[in-house]
Amino acid sequence: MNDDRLKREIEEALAVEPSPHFAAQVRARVAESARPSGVWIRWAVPAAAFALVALVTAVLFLELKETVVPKPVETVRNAPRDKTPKAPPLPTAQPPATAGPVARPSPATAAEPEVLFDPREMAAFRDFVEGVREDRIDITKLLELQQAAARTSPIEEIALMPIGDVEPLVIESLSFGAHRIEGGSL
Amino acid sequence: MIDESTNWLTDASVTMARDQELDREFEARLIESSTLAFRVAYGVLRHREDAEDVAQEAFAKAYRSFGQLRERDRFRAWLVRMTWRMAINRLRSDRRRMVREQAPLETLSSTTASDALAVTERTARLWKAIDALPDKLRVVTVLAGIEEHDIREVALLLRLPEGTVKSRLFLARQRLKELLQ
Repeated sequence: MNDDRLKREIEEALAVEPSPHFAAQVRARVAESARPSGVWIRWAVPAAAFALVALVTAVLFLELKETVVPKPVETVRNAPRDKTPKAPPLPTAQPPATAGPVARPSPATAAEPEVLFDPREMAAFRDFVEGVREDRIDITKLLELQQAAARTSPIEEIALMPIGDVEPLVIESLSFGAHRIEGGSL
Repeated sequence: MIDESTNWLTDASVTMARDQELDREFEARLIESSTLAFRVAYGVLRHREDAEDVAQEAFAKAYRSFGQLRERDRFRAWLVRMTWRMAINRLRSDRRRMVREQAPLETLSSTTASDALAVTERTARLWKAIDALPDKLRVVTVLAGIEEHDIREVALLLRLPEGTVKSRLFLARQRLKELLQ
Protein backbone atom coordinates (compact mmCIF):
# COMPACT_ATOMS: atom_id res chain seq x y z
CA MET A 1 0.00 0.00 0.00
CA ASN A 2 1.49 3.30 -1.06
CA ASP A 3 1.06 6.67 0.62
CA ASP A 4 -1.49 8.01 -1.83
CA ARG A 5 -3.78 5.03 -1.46
CA LEU A 6 -3.51 5.14 2.32
CA LYS A 7 -4.22 8.84 2.34
CA ARG A 8 -7.24 8.35 0.08
CA GLU A 9 -8.64 5.60 2.25
CA ILE A 10 -8.28 7.72 5.38
CA GLU A 11 -10.00 10.62 3.67
CA GLU A 12 -12.85 8.34 2.56
CA ALA A 13 -13.20 6.99 6.08
CA LEU A 14 -13.44 10.50 7.47
CA ALA A 15 -15.74 11.86 4.75
CA VAL A 16 -18.74 11.65 7.04
CA GLU A 17 -21.34 14.38 6.97
CA PRO A 18 -23.26 15.39 10.07
CA SER A 19 -27.02 15.14 10.09
CA PRO A 20 -29.01 17.92 8.41
CA HIS A 21 -30.18 19.16 11.79
CA PHE A 22 -26.68 19.44 13.19
CA ALA A 23 -26.27 23.19 12.64
CA ALA A 24 -29.67 23.89 14.15
CA GLN A 25 -28.84 21.72 17.13
CA VAL A 26 -25.57 23.59 17.62
CA ARG A 27 -27.44 26.91 17.56
CA ALA A 28 -29.91 25.58 20.11
CA ARG A 29 -27.08 24.35 22.36
CA VAL A 30 -25.34 27.71 22.06
CA ALA A 31 -28.55 29.54 22.92
CA GLU A 32 -28.87 27.41 26.06
CA SER A 33 -25.46 28.50 27.25
CA ALA A 34 -25.72 32.14 26.28
CA ARG A 35 -22.69 34.32 26.72
CA PRO A 36 -22.88 36.57 29.82
CA SER A 37 -24.08 39.93 28.66
CA GLY A 38 -21.84 42.95 28.99
CA VAL A 39 -24.85 45.06 29.91
CA TRP A 40 -25.58 42.79 32.84
CA ILE A 41 -21.97 43.06 34.00
CA ARG A 42 -22.15 46.83 33.77
CA TRP A 43 -25.20 46.75 36.01
CA ALA A 44 -23.90 44.16 38.42
CA VAL A 45 -20.60 45.80 39.32
CA PRO A 46 -22.01 49.22 40.39
CA ALA A 47 -24.94 47.55 42.12
CA ALA A 48 -22.62 45.34 44.14
CA ALA A 49 -20.42 48.32 45.02
CA PHE A 50 -23.44 50.35 46.10
CA ALA A 51 -24.74 47.50 48.23
CA LEU A 52 -21.34 47.12 49.87
CA VAL A 53 -21.10 50.83 50.67
CA ALA A 54 -24.62 50.85 52.09
CA LEU A 55 -23.84 47.85 54.26
CA VAL A 56 -20.63 49.37 55.61
CA THR A 57 -22.40 52.67 56.31
CA ALA A 58 -25.18 50.93 58.20
CA VAL A 59 -22.74 48.94 60.29
CA LEU A 60 -20.69 52.03 61.14
CA PHE A 61 -23.83 53.98 62.03
CA LEU A 62 -25.04 51.26 64.37
CA GLU A 63 -21.64 50.95 66.03
CA LEU A 64 -21.45 54.71 66.54
CA LYS A 65 -24.90 54.74 68.05
CA GLU A 66 -24.02 51.99 70.47
CA THR A 67 -20.86 53.86 71.47
CA VAL A 68 -22.78 57.03 72.40
CA VAL A 69 -25.26 55.11 74.55
CA PRO A 70 -23.17 52.39 76.12
CA LYS A 71 -25.53 51.27 78.87
CA PRO A 72 -29.16 51.81 79.83
CA VAL A 73 -28.47 54.34 82.57
CA GLU A 74 -31.11 56.94 83.15
CA THR A 75 -29.76 60.28 82.11
CA VAL A 76 -31.26 63.65 81.80
CA ARG A 77 -30.44 63.88 78.12
CA ASN A 78 -31.66 60.49 77.00
CA ALA A 79 -34.65 59.93 79.18
CA PRO A 80 -37.85 60.45 77.22
CA ARG A 81 -40.76 61.61 79.26
CA ASP A 82 -43.23 59.07 78.06
CA LYS A 83 -40.89 56.13 78.58
CA THR A 84 -40.06 56.87 82.18
CA PRO A 85 -41.16 54.05 84.42
CA LYS A 86 -43.67 54.84 87.04
CA ALA A 87 -41.93 55.54 90.30
CA PRO A 88 -42.80 53.70 93.42
CA PRO A 89 -44.57 55.85 96.02
CA LEU A 90 -42.16 57.80 98.07
CA PRO A 91 -42.65 57.95 101.79
CA THR A 92 -42.69 61.75 101.96
CA ALA A 93 -44.07 64.56 99.87
CA GLN A 94 -42.09 65.42 96.81
CA PRO A 95 -39.53 67.96 97.82
CA PRO A 96 -39.17 70.80 95.39
CA ALA A 97 -35.57 71.09 96.45
CA THR A 98 -34.68 68.23 94.13
CA ALA A 99 -36.00 70.20 91.20
CA GLY A 100 -32.91 72.31 90.94
CA PRO A 101 -30.50 70.17 89.01
CA VAL A 102 -33.13 68.14 87.17
CA ALA A 103 -35.36 70.79 85.71
CA ARG A 104 -32.75 72.38 83.56
CA PRO A 105 -31.36 69.89 81.05
CA SER A 106 -28.22 71.29 79.70
CA PRO A 107 -27.23 70.84 76.06
CA ALA A 108 -24.30 68.73 77.06
CA THR A 109 -22.24 67.07 74.45
CA ALA A 110 -21.20 63.46 74.45
CA ALA A 111 -17.76 64.42 75.72
CA GLU A 112 -19.05 65.95 78.92
CA PRO A 113 -19.54 63.76 81.97
CA GLU A 114 -23.06 62.53 82.30
CA VAL A 115 -25.05 63.44 85.37
CA LEU A 116 -26.80 60.44 86.81
CA PHE A 117 -30.02 60.55 88.79
CA ASP A 118 -32.08 58.02 90.55
CA PRO A 119 -34.89 57.16 88.15
CA ARG A 120 -37.37 57.06 91.00
CA GLU A 121 -36.56 60.61 92.00
CA MET A 122 -36.87 61.78 88.39
CA ALA A 123 -40.19 60.05 87.97
CA ALA A 124 -41.50 61.49 91.18
CA PHE A 125 -40.48 64.98 90.23
CA ARG A 126 -42.08 64.64 86.81
CA ASP A 127 -45.25 63.38 88.40
CA PHE A 128 -45.23 66.39 90.66
CA VAL A 129 -44.73 68.84 87.80
CA GLU A 130 -47.38 67.17 85.67
CA GLY A 131 -49.74 67.12 88.62
CA VAL A 132 -49.29 70.86 89.07
CA ARG A 133 -49.84 71.46 85.36
CA GLU A 134 -52.94 69.30 85.26
CA ASP A 135 -54.28 70.85 88.50
CA ARG A 136 -54.19 67.54 90.27
CA ILE A 137 -51.94 68.98 92.95
CA ASP A 138 -52.91 72.16 94.75
CA ILE A 139 -49.82 74.13 95.53
CA THR A 140 -51.63 77.09 97.04
CA LYS A 141 -51.05 75.66 100.47
CA LEU A 142 -47.46 75.26 99.67
CA LEU A 143 -47.31 78.90 98.59
CA GLU A 144 -49.12 79.95 101.74
CA LEU A 145 -46.66 78.03 103.83
CA GLN A 146 -43.85 79.73 101.99
CA GLN A 147 -45.40 83.16 102.56
CA ALA A 148 -46.08 82.41 106.23
CA ALA A 149 -42.51 81.34 106.65
CA ALA A 150 -41.43 84.63 105.13
CA ARG A 151 -43.62 86.57 107.57
CA THR A 152 -42.27 84.99 110.74
CA SER A 153 -39.70 86.90 112.68
CA PRO A 154 -36.21 85.84 112.19
CA ILE A 155 -34.75 83.60 114.79
CA GLU A 156 -32.71 85.43 117.31
CA GLU A 157 -29.11 84.76 117.38
CA ILE A 158 -27.99 82.29 119.96
CA ALA A 159 -26.27 84.13 122.70
CA LEU A 160 -23.45 82.29 124.24
CA MET A 161 -23.29 82.31 127.96
CA PRO A 162 -20.25 84.11 129.19
CA ILE A 163 -17.79 81.89 130.88
CA GLY A 164 -16.28 84.47 133.16
CA ASP A 165 -18.15 83.18 136.24
CA VAL A 166 -16.68 79.78 136.11
CA GLU A 167 -13.74 79.30 138.36
CA PRO A 168 -10.67 78.00 136.73
CA LEU A 169 -9.68 74.46 137.42
CA VAL A 170 -7.02 73.99 140.01
CA ILE A 171 -4.74 71.10 139.68
CA GLU A 172 -3.49 69.91 142.95
CA SER A 173 -0.01 68.62 143.35
CA LEU A 174 0.46 64.92 143.77
CA SER A 175 1.44 63.65 147.21
CA PHE A 176 3.21 60.33 147.14
CA GLY A 177 3.08 59.97 150.91
CA ALA A 178 -0.63 59.53 150.89
CA HIS A 179 -0.35 56.34 148.88
CA ARG A 180 0.96 52.99 149.89
CA ILE A 181 3.22 51.37 147.52
CA GLU A 182 2.87 47.67 147.43
CA GLY A 183 5.42 45.12 146.34
CA GLY A 184 8.65 46.93 147.39
CA SER A 185 10.27 50.30 147.06
CA LEU A 186 10.79 52.34 143.94
CA MET B 1 -26.88 62.80 36.80
CA ILE B 2 -28.44 63.17 33.37
CA ASP B 3 -25.01 63.02 31.80
CA GLU B 4 -24.27 59.79 33.66
CA SER B 5 -27.53 58.25 32.49
CA THR B 6 -26.84 59.31 28.93
CA ASN B 7 -23.35 57.86 29.11
CA TRP B 8 -24.68 54.64 30.52
CA LEU B 9 -27.25 54.31 27.77
CA THR B 10 -24.59 55.03 25.20
CA ASP B 11 -22.30 52.40 26.70
CA ALA B 12 -25.15 49.90 26.85
CA SER B 13 -26.05 50.46 23.22
CA VAL B 14 -22.39 50.09 22.25
CA THR B 15 -22.18 46.87 24.24
CA MET B 16 -25.33 45.50 22.62
CA ALA B 17 -24.04 46.39 19.18
CA ARG B 18 -20.77 44.65 19.99
CA ASP B 19 -22.66 41.55 21.16
CA GLN B 20 -24.64 41.49 17.93
CA GLU B 21 -21.44 41.78 15.93
CA LEU B 22 -19.96 38.89 17.92
CA ASP B 23 -23.07 36.81 17.24
CA ARG B 24 -22.77 37.46 13.52
CA GLU B 25 -19.10 36.47 13.55
CA PHE B 26 -19.87 33.35 15.53
CA GLU B 27 -22.55 32.35 13.06
CA ALA B 28 -19.99 32.65 10.28
CA ARG B 29 -17.51 30.49 12.23
CA LEU B 30 -20.27 27.97 12.91
CA ILE B 31 -21.11 27.60 9.24
CA GLU B 32 -17.45 27.36 8.34
CA SER B 33 -16.25 24.95 11.04
CA SER B 34 -19.19 22.79 12.11
CA THR B 35 -18.29 19.91 9.77
CA LEU B 36 -14.65 20.11 10.84
CA ALA B 37 -15.59 19.77 14.51
CA PHE B 38 -17.97 16.92 13.76
CA ARG B 39 -15.35 15.00 11.75
CA VAL B 40 -12.69 15.48 14.42
CA ALA B 41 -15.06 14.02 16.99
CA TYR B 42 -16.09 11.28 14.61
CA GLY B 43 -12.44 10.39 14.01
CA VAL B 44 -12.19 9.54 17.70
CA LEU B 45 -15.64 8.20 18.50
CA ARG B 46 -16.85 6.86 15.13
CA HIS B 47 -20.37 7.21 16.40
CA ARG B 48 -22.47 9.78 14.60
CA GLU B 49 -24.73 10.87 17.47
CA ASP B 50 -21.91 10.98 19.99
CA ALA B 51 -19.74 12.96 17.59
CA GLU B 52 -22.52 15.48 17.01
CA ASP B 53 -23.09 15.81 20.72
CA VAL B 54 -19.42 16.44 21.42
CA ALA B 55 -19.16 18.96 18.60
CA GLN B 56 -22.21 20.83 19.88
CA GLU B 57 -20.71 21.00 23.33
CA ALA B 58 -17.45 22.29 21.92
CA PHE B 59 -19.28 25.02 20.03
CA ALA B 60 -21.17 26.01 23.17
CA LYS B 61 -17.86 26.39 25.00
CA ALA B 62 -16.41 28.32 22.10
CA TYR B 63 -19.38 30.69 22.18
CA ARG B 64 -18.76 31.52 25.82
CA SER B 65 -15.15 32.40 25.04
CA PHE B 66 -15.72 33.89 21.63
CA GLY B 67 -14.51 37.31 22.74
CA GLN B 68 -10.97 35.89 22.82
CA LEU B 69 -11.45 33.62 19.78
CA ARG B 70 -12.59 36.03 17.10
CA GLU B 71 -9.61 35.42 14.86
CA ARG B 72 -10.43 32.74 12.30
CA ASP B 73 -7.30 30.59 12.61
CA ARG B 74 -7.27 30.95 16.35
CA PHE B 75 -10.93 29.86 16.52
CA ARG B 76 -10.44 26.82 14.32
CA ALA B 77 -7.35 25.70 16.19
CA TRP B 78 -9.05 26.11 19.55
CA LEU B 79 -12.16 24.29 18.28
CA VAL B 80 -10.17 21.35 16.90
CA ARG B 81 -8.10 20.88 20.05
CA MET B 82 -11.14 21.25 22.31
CA THR B 83 -13.22 18.83 20.24
CA TRP B 84 -10.43 16.28 20.15
CA ARG B 85 -9.92 16.46 23.90
CA MET B 86 -13.63 16.21 24.63
CA ALA B 87 -14.00 13.27 22.26
CA ILE B 88 -11.10 11.47 23.92
CA ASN B 89 -12.68 12.08 27.30
CA ARG B 90 -16.03 10.82 26.03
CA LEU B 91 -14.39 7.71 24.63
CA ARG B 92 -12.55 6.97 27.85
CA SER B 93 -15.71 7.42 29.88
CA ASP B 94 -17.63 5.10 27.60
CA ARG B 95 -15.22 2.26 27.06
CA ARG B 96 -17.89 -0.35 27.39
CA ARG B 97 -19.62 0.75 24.23
CA MET B 98 -18.34 -1.79 21.72
CA VAL B 99 -20.75 -1.23 18.89
CA ARG B 100 -19.55 1.57 16.71
CA GLU B 101 -20.98 2.88 13.58
CA GLN B 102 -19.34 1.51 10.51
CA ALA B 103 -18.02 3.66 7.73
CA PRO B 104 -20.83 5.22 5.70
CA LEU B 105 -21.37 3.20 2.59
CA GLU B 106 -23.13 6.00 0.78
CA THR B 107 -19.87 7.93 0.46
CA LEU B 108 -18.12 5.09 -1.27
CA SER B 109 -18.30 4.34 -4.92
CA SER B 110 -18.92 0.62 -4.60
CA THR B 111 -22.31 -0.54 -5.73
CA THR B 112 -22.31 -4.26 -5.45
CA ALA B 113 -22.80 -6.11 -2.19
CA SER B 114 -19.45 -7.84 -2.38
CA ASP B 115 -17.68 -4.59 -3.01
CA ALA B 116 -19.53 -2.97 -0.12
CA LEU B 117 -18.54 -5.78 2.18
CA ALA B 118 -14.93 -5.50 1.08
CA VAL B 119 -14.92 -1.77 1.68
CA THR B 120 -16.49 -2.24 5.10
CA GLU B 121 -13.89 -4.78 6.09
CA ARG B 122 -11.08 -2.61 4.81
CA THR B 123 -12.38 0.44 6.62
CA ALA B 124 -12.72 -1.51 9.84
CA ARG B 125 -9.12 -2.64 9.54
CA LEU B 126 -8.05 0.91 8.84
CA TRP B 127 -9.79 2.27 11.93
CA LYS B 128 -8.35 -0.52 14.02
CA ALA B 129 -4.90 0.46 12.84
CA ILE B 130 -5.54 4.15 13.48
CA ASP B 131 -6.79 3.35 16.97
CA ALA B 132 -3.56 1.51 17.63
CA LEU B 133 -1.50 4.65 16.97
CA PRO B 134 -0.27 6.83 19.82
CA ASP B 135 -2.38 9.89 20.40
CA LYS B 136 0.15 12.31 18.92
CA LEU B 137 0.32 10.35 15.67
CA ARG B 138 -3.41 9.68 15.55
CA VAL B 139 -4.42 13.31 15.72
CA VAL B 140 -2.17 14.36 12.85
CA THR B 141 -3.44 11.42 10.80
CA VAL B 142 -7.08 12.34 11.38
CA LEU B 143 -6.58 16.05 10.78
CA ALA B 144 -4.62 15.41 7.60
CA GLY B 145 -7.46 13.18 6.39
CA ILE B 146 -10.15 15.84 6.93
CA GLU B 147 -10.92 18.37 4.21
CA GLU B 148 -7.59 17.65 2.49
CA HIS B 149 -5.63 19.56 5.11
CA ASP B 150 -2.00 19.93 4.19
CA ILE B 151 0.91 19.95 6.65
CA ARG B 152 0.78 23.71 7.11
CA GLU B 153 -2.92 23.68 8.02
CA VAL B 154 -2.44 20.77 10.42
CA ALA B 155 0.45 22.65 12.02
CA LEU B 156 -1.77 25.71 12.41
CA LEU B 157 -4.60 23.69 13.94
CA LEU B 158 -2.34 21.92 16.42
CA ARG B 159 -0.03 24.91 16.95
CA LEU B 160 2.97 22.79 16.19
CA PRO B 161 5.96 23.42 13.92
CA GLU B 162 5.45 22.17 10.40
CA GLY B 163 8.53 19.96 10.69
CA THR B 164 7.06 18.23 13.73
CA VAL B 165 3.78 17.60 11.92
CA LYS B 166 5.61 16.33 8.85
CA SER B 167 7.70 13.85 10.82
CA ARG B 168 4.73 12.67 12.87
CA LEU B 169 2.63 12.20 9.76
CA PHE B 170 5.41 10.23 8.06
CA LEU B 171 5.83 8.03 11.12
CA ALA B 172 2.09 7.49 11.42
CA ARG B 173 1.74 6.38 7.80
CA GLN B 174 4.66 4.01 8.14
CA ARG B 175 3.03 2.35 11.12
CA LEU B 176 -0.34 2.21 9.39
CA LYS B 177 1.17 0.53 6.37
CA GLU B 178 2.84 -2.01 8.59
CA LEU B 179 -0.37 -2.70 10.44
CA LEU B 180 -2.49 -2.96 7.31
CA GLN B 181 -0.21 -5.38 5.47
